[in-house]
Parts: sequence; structure tokens; C-alpha cells
Amino acid sequence: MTGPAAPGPAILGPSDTMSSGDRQLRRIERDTLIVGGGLALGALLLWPSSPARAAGVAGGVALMALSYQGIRSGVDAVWPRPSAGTAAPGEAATADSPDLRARFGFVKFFTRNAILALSAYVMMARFEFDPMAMLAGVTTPAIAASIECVRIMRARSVGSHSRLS
Amino acid sequence: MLLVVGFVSPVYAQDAAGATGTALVQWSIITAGFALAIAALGGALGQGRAVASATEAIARNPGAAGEIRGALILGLVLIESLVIYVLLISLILFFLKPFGG
Repeated sequence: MTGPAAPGPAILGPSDTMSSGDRQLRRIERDTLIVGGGLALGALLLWPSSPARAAGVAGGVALMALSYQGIRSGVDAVWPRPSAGTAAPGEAATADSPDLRARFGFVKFFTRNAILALSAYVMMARFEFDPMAMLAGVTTPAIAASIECVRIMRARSVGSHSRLS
Repeated sequence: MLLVVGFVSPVYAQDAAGATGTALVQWSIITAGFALAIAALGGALGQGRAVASATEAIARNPGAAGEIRGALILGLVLIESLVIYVLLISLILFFLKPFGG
């Protein structure tokens, strides 16, 4: 007969080193993808003869993903994440060094508007994605942020109820 | 005479409609350009204020940098999404020309 298992050493995963802000961003990223996928699927089911609408939703989500990546790279370059590590003084910039990552981050941050405009032009004028569907796709981060707000409010409401009782 | 005027007037009406359509296209393109400029200006001001506030907040309380970073990125993305709306609408007016032309 064996007793209760002794607690082993704590294994820290990547999520344990993340701040609550990073966790919140991860949830919003996930919700954006879910909402965008749902909208694209809904467009495909509602208008099966015009895949340009579903492609437009996906294109709008892709535009927001490009913008998000650019902004996040820039912010990470200025204020690195705690788990990202920092370059030692005098360390040369190698292919994966934080120094080089920061430089690429700045490049992505400052060129994101040009990349966005070019991508939107190609999607709309060349690939002829549906413009209204693209607008719907661009709305998905706002929807995901609203979902996160509702989640936070519900968590606070549950917390205050449990404190009162 | 009345009959002639009756036949001629639709031609003038078509000319007037064509001129109105052209003017509408021109004004829509001018409006799209100004809308994009105003949106970029507003977005840049908003993002600048957000970054300034975040920098000040992190300098005051470095321990809360993780939370402030998350809120900053989210705020910047939401501000940017408004500018992207206007960019898309401007591209619609520039290239798809919903008012003809």
C-alpha cells in the first residue's frame, strides 16, 4: 500500500514566467483567432457561392495580426519580456541574440503601416476580397477585447460575491 | 417647339447626371485622402499619449511593467484598428469606386 505521493519539484513552464498582462494578451490572441475563424466559417456557410467573403474576413484578421506583430515587436524591443533575456555587455549580435531581435522588432514596428497598406491593397484590388468582410475581420480584436472585459468583470463579480459570503 | 424641348431635355439630364457622378467620384477621392490623413493624425496622437503614459507608469513602478506592457500593446492595437478601418474605407473609395467612375 502506498501513501499519498510526495510533492515533486515544481516544473516551471513558459506560462509560469509570464506576467498577467502577457497571459491576458494570449487569451485575447486566442479569442481573436476563434472569433475570426467563426466569422469566416459563418461567411462560407451563409454564402457558399462567394468565397471572397470568407477570404475577406480572413484577410481582415491577417491585417490585424500583421499590425499586432509589428506593435508587439516594437514594445518588446523597448521593454523586453522577463523571459526573453538580455544581451550581455560587449556580446556580438548573433542570429538569435536579443540585440538582433530588438533591431528586427524596431524595423517591424516602423514599417508596419507600409506593410499594412500594401497588404490591404493587394487583398482588395488584386485578389478582390470582399471589402465589407475585411472590415468585419478587422473588428475581431475589438470583439476579443470585449470578451476579455466581460471575463474580467465576471471574475471580479464572483470574487466579490465569495468575499461577501 | 414644346415637343423638341421634351426630346432634348433628357439629353441635358444625362449630361447633368454624368457631371454629378464625376463630381461625386472626385469628392469621394478627396474625402478619402483627408479621412486617412485625419485618422493617421488622431491615431498617432493617441498612440503617442499611450506610450508616454506607459513609460511614465513603468518608471514610477517598475514592478508592474508586465501588466503595463500588456495594457499598452492592447491599447495600441485597438487604436491602430481604427486607423485600419479608415485605410480600408479609403482603399474602397480609391480602387473599387462605389460611386462609379
